[in-house]
Amino acid sequence: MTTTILGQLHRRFFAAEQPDTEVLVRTLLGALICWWSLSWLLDARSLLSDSSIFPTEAGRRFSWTLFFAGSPAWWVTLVLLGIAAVGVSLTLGRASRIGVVIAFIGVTSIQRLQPAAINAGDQLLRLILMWAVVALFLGSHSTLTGNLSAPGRERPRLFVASVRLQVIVVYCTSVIWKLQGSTWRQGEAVYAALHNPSVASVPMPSLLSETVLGTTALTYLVLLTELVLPILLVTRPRVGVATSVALHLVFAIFLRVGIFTPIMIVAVLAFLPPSDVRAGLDRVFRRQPGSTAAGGSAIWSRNSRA
Amino acid sequence: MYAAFVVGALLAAFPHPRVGRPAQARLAPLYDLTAGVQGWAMFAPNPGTTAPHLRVELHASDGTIEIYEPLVPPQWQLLRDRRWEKVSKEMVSNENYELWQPLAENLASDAEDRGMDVVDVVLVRVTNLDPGRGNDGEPTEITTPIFSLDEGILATDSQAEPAAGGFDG
Repeated sequence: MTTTILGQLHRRFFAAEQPDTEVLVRTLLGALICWWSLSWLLDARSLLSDSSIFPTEAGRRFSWTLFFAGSPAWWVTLVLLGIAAVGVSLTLGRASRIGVVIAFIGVTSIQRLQPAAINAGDQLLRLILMWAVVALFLGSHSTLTGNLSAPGRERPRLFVASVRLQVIVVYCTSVIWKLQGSTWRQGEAVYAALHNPSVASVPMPSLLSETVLGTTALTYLVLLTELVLPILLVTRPRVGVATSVALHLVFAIFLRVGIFTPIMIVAVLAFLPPSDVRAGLDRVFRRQPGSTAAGGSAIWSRNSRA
Repeated sequence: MYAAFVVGALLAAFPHPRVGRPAQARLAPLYDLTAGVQGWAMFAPNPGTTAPHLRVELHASDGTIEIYEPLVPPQWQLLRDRRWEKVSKEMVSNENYELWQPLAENLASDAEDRGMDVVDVVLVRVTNLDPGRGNDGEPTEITTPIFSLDEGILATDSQAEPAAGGFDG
């Protein structure tokens, strides 16, 4: 039985597949990286540079960083603009391999500069880039190239497999942590989160947020969903992805969790079968007036001829 | 090699002190190299019930006190508001007590650049406590001076800290 389960897991994560899912994740990841780095530009001087009042770490704690020699505002700004440019290139599918390496080095260096500002979403962004680099260097089958318009070769996609594993780790460890807390076990955690002014966002209907019945039910619902999601994502990917996206959108409405929601949604999309990604994109792009080819926008069509 | 790396990463992420921490310690150089350390104690083991943040009192030689608080950007600036909120919270965390001296010195230097004759900088931890489920009343604000440039560390009590392990987003 163990062999069967391991065999199924191996097929689910490491079986040869078309590149569509990998390309979708890479495309959206590039857009997120671009947004992330541009959003830092406004705080480059006040949080990251040598002239910030908040002490920066620079090269004091880590073996490598782009800021060993200090972090003057011009250098921080240049690094952030470089990361944004790499994000655009990843989205467009240009120079993707060197792109993920540069993005990983840049994003990690920025995060190491001011660890006090780093949230769970930042952490996940860095880890996904790390998996992309690890897959490139250690996996003999990684490409990160490919495009959505032309059928690619079926091969194991280590980057996608790593992102899937990472999502499973996030949900499993998160549930284990939560089960160690008394408020989660007693059904009070959602009340606490919704009433913490540093986290609460749009007020939830009082029937759910103010009553014992409502908050207790929501607490156990969150726990149960996070507990079941890893199983759903592996065994019923479409249902799992839909459930996960819905869960994170609800979180984003009522709680301030920053970039965690979009990065988690991008990561969860790695579970979609490539055929679903292709079918979905075909439907979307066919509706675009002026498409240059059936099933493709200008970008995808140009790629298909390359 | 890939499989070995995956196993190492999974072990280090495991939320049990006898598994995760030893793995992180043993593989520390690898995690430093790959920036692969991770922890997912989001809203766990218990969600934070307080919102600690930084307030600074700049004491001038003429007896006036200038109050400074990091300005958290509006909520629609999705990424920036979390960053500033986190920085303000981390700066008053007892775990980061080593940052208090350089932070206070930077604040003094900044104020002196603006022409203020600073005699002391006091870092204050401000905490808003919710009355709790089933209790009436308004949230309470608690202020705890934690560091003074003149007197050093003033308090490292955990009264106003978030619930243990709370990593809210």
